[in-house]
Amino acid sequence: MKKKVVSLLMAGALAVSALGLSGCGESGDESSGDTWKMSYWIPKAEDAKFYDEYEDNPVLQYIEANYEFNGKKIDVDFFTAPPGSEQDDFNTLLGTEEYCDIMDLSMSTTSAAELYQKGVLQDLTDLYKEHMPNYVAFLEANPDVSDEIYSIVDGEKKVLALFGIAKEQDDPFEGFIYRRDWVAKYGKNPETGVAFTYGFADESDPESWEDDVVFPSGGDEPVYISDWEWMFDIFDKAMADLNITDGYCYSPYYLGYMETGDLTSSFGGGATGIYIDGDTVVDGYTSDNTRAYLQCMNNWYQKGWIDPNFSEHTSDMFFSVDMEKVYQGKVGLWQGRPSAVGNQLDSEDDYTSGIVVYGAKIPINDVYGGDAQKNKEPNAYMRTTKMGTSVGLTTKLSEEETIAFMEFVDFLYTEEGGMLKNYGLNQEQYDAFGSELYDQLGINGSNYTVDADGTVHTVFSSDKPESIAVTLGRCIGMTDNVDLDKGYDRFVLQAVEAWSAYENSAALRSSVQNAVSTENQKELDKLKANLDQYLARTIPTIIMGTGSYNMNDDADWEQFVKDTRKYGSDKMAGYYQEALDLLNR
Amino acid sequence: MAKKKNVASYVKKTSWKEDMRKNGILYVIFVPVLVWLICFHYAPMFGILMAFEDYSITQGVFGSPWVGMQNFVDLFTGTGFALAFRNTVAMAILSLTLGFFPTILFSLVLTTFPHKRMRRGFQLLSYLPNFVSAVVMCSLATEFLSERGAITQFISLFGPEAQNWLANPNIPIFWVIYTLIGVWQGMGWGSIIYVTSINNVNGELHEAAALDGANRFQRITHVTLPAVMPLIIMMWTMAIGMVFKTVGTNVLLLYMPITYDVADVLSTYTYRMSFGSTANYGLSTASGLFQSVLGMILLIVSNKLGKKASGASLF
Repeated sequence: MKKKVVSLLMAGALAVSALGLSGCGESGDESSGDTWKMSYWIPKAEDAKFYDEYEDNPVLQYIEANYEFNGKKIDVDFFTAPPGSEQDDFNTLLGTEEYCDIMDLSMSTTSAAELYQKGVLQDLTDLYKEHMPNYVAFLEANPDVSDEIYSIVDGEKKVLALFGIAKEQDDPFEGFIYRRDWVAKYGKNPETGVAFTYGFADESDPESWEDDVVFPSGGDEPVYISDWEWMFDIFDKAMADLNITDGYCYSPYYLGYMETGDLTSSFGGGATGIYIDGDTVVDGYTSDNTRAYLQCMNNWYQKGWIDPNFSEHTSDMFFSVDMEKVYQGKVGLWQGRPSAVGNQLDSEDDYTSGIVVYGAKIPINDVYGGDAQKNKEPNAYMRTTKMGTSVGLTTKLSEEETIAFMEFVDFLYTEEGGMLKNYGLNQEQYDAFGSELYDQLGINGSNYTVDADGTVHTVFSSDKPESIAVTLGRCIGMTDNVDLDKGYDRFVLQAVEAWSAYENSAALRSSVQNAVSTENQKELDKLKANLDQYLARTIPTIIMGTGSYNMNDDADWEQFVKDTRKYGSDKMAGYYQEALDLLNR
Repeated sequence: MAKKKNVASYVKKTSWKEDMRKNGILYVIFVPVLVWLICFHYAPMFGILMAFEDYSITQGVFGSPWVGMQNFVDLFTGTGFALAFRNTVAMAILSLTLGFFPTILFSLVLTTFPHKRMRRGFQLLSYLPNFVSAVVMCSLATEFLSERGAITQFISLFGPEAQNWLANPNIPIFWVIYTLIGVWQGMGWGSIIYVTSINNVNGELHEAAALDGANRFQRITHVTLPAVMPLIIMMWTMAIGMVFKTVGTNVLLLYMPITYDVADVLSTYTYRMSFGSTANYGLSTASGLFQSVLGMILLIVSNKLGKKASGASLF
């Protein structure tokens, strides 16, 4: 009998816990007394070594204990998806109507406009202006992103989500990088023909590299396509000298082009994709710029300058370059990350010993195509934007609770709230409130210091998980990274500067993508799925010269344009144009 | 000639109460299976409706707008459908031929192997690939078949140029590679049922055949194979029914854009078509339904053919 009772109790507990785990419940209804209670779904929490639930975050606890929003304190319960099932979890919550009061929309496969039309999200258009003065002021101070907060519903601009926005665009996370040591060792001054001088002033200090490299364009860095081609000749010499038989000069992404621009933007701007030129949306798939890009790539392939197997470094999910050969020191130029610049790839073997890698700007074409494709600055490339995660406030929140949460987010856009969110507790706050986590991690006080010039130094660098755990990194609000000391060495600084050389003005902004109507989005998805398949099959063969299109032949080019438009590239541009017009209205 | 009496007619009919009393424990054991079948195989069939809807997560199966056959039209008119269908059929045929019989051959070799310890060792080794994840298996295959891979080097000894065989867009290279990877993965595990069945063949039959002068090969062809033929037919029929579901499971890990023409199968094609910036659940359900219907038709046809050929059938 006792066993039966225990079994029944255990089964009951299991059933209750299963029900409890299945959704966010009705926490919005529990607000009472002096506290607004609300639930907030985020896709990812911190490692359990820091805390079990995100509501244990020290900054959140400090804010909940010390501030009032809409006349009361707030108590936010965070719900997190199981790792690896973030999107499933989001969809399940929506499908079962068990969603939280506040939903992080980064995992949503449904647009905010559609969620609003289905009655999941609230319209915040009027409320945010009234209750979020700091958010509004921030948007006014950042006109380049002020349009990004809108969704278009039945031709009308609406605010359906609140955004985390950065004060400044974050540094590029990757860009072109090249073997500076090869250029210095095997190149000669293009004007005088004299060999360059180079080397480490202090052999034990990889940062002490100096050289007097000059490129054909006259500067100390490659700026034009002709500079790149000059470098490629030098890389060929280097590989011949080192007996590298399976190396090459440039490793492109496997599809042979980037929809976001990057190298395809060198040939007159824009991208081999849909891009924006002023108030016009352009079908870049069939632009003359794309033709010039493909002519260049085909020429490089024929000369053996690019990875002969570039189209094989592939998977469905990720773009990829040939990292194996990069790490072996057999590639001259590739698209890489800060972790590869300077002397970091030195494995003390024949090909990487003494390696020095520099960042390079996206080159300006001065060789291929007509005048329209030459001497124009690139204006589209893959880069993070100021816009971060967005959250939707669901219809489960009462108006009073909605206002309370909006005031909470607005607080994170103030100077004080921004410091708390981005840098954590200062000494005064720590002394008054304390934090077990800060003690456990050995911070024992303020998480940051500020120099006289305003530079902020945090205890943990931004690449460490601790830096997110001790701040309010998972919650939306202003991202302030302007004054943060990121701990870059001189090589990373040089690379980041080179990668940020040009304005990313032609990229298809997320505001335009968000403004596409639900019906048009469905059509766009169909067109894009078919077009992607066609281009993924075709572009590599154009570059390798194994397909039926020769980009130097006008008739072939016209046929390519015709075939590509059959898949609706121009229709896609039309749908985005409609969205851009709505935004500009 | 007197009509054969059905065996069932000799069985004494019992009431359900009596049956329950006699076999109650068996029914109790069956309950979890029944629940599992209902929960995971019958209840989700409601989802088939999604194939005819513009399915929206927020509106659910019963609230999403009805679009009739539009998802099927989108599926069949997609740029890569014809090639994906051709490749699926080709790989299915290869899986049912080149991929099916090695398991039987392996089982026969294994059961005739004289050394018991070595036999067990081989058997154990053959099971291993089944327990290694598909990602690891495909990564190994990718390495072995790369330009400098071990298999490529071996093949080069016989003349063909060293190359990444998985990037070769010529028919039927990818199809054969895919099938052989399947054999490598499943042969050992699949042999368990055959080995068990072969071991259960009456030893007296073998003795009699041996006394009549049959050699080992003749005993296999005249005793073992006929004895396990109903099992082979049953397994083949089941494999036919499942072939559209199983073909392509590894393709996603092995193909690349330049081999889409020969490697793309219905499942990978559907994956790319369905999951753009917004997920198209209707289209993916339509594709799944299409493959299931095809599988069912094939199952019924093959079952009939099997019955005609050997008298053995699933139903």
